[in-house]
Amino acid sequence: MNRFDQLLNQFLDKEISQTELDELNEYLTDESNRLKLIKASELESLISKVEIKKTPNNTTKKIMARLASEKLRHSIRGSSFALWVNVSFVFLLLIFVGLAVLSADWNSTNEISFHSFNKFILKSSELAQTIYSAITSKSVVIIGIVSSLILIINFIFNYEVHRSFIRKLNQHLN
Amino acid sequence: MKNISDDEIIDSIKRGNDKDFSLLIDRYKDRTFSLIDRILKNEFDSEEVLQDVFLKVYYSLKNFKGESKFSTWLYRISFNTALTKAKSKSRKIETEMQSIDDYEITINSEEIFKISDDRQHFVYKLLDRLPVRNSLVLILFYVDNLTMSEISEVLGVSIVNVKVMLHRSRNLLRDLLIKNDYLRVNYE
Repeated sequence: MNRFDQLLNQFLDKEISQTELDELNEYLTDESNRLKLIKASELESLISKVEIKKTPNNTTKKIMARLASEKLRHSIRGSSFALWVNVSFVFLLLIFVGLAVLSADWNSTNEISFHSFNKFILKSSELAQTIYSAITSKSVVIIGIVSSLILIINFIFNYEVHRSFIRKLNQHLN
Repeated sequence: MKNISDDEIIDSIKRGNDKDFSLLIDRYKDRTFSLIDRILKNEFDSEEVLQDVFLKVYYSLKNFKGESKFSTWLYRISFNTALTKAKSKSRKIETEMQSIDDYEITINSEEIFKISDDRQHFVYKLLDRLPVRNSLVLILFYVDNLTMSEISEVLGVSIVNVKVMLHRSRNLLRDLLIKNDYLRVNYE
């Protein structure tokens, strides 16, 4: 490749410095070099006018609709997760309340069938024993009230999640 | 709408104005579709991939830091998604596999010449038959006005490779145009 071709390529690649551009201009006094440049520019012009293929009709609408439906699916997944967390929470709370009630009964009557099991569980660690000693008849009532309040709050939260889901579903369907 | 920059639209979407995403779609759908269709060569698949691309873009927008131009980022996602689609369909993209050297030997420019209305159409048809990467390099450089560095980012190849592909594709097109008397000058 001679120097002119090299400069021409740099020019076509839009990577030519001012000094090199001046050098290229000097070569253009030669007719054949000038023709090369003209034809190269002509080719560039032809390529740059190549028509871009158009998208089918309503493409934007279709994409936005698909996006809305994807977002709805995401929000359903989110709601399901929230519901799962809440159900798990209620389940654990019920177990705790059940254990507390059983422990209280065992404390007063000593006739519950879970006696040995509870005794084993509660005495198996210091932490369990601390919890056991903290549970008295009065505290069980307090725990019951607190648990009920938590359950009510939980119910309200679940109801709101459900309402929000229905709202989104209606928006999507409309 | 033309005065609003891509960055401004993206900021608006990030602030929660989801409907502004349609502005980005309107601005880039045709170019993106054209790029995808050049790889898949099937309008139905290309439309499906176009939708996938814009969904990916929407969900990744929060990670877009603006280090590169939005168009470069969008084209890279489009190129990769289209290639994945082509591979998943086990479609042999002949032009993708074919080297430009083979192309020079096998191309029947007379046949393309016969079905072309004018030289603009002839160039379009030739571009359509070039190996995918070579035609993409030309389109991205001359139609989309991307720099060599941006093209290398889109195609995942080095800048040197882009330069080589650009030179060879340009020379091949030039020779074919001269051969068919569309550029009436003999270079060599």
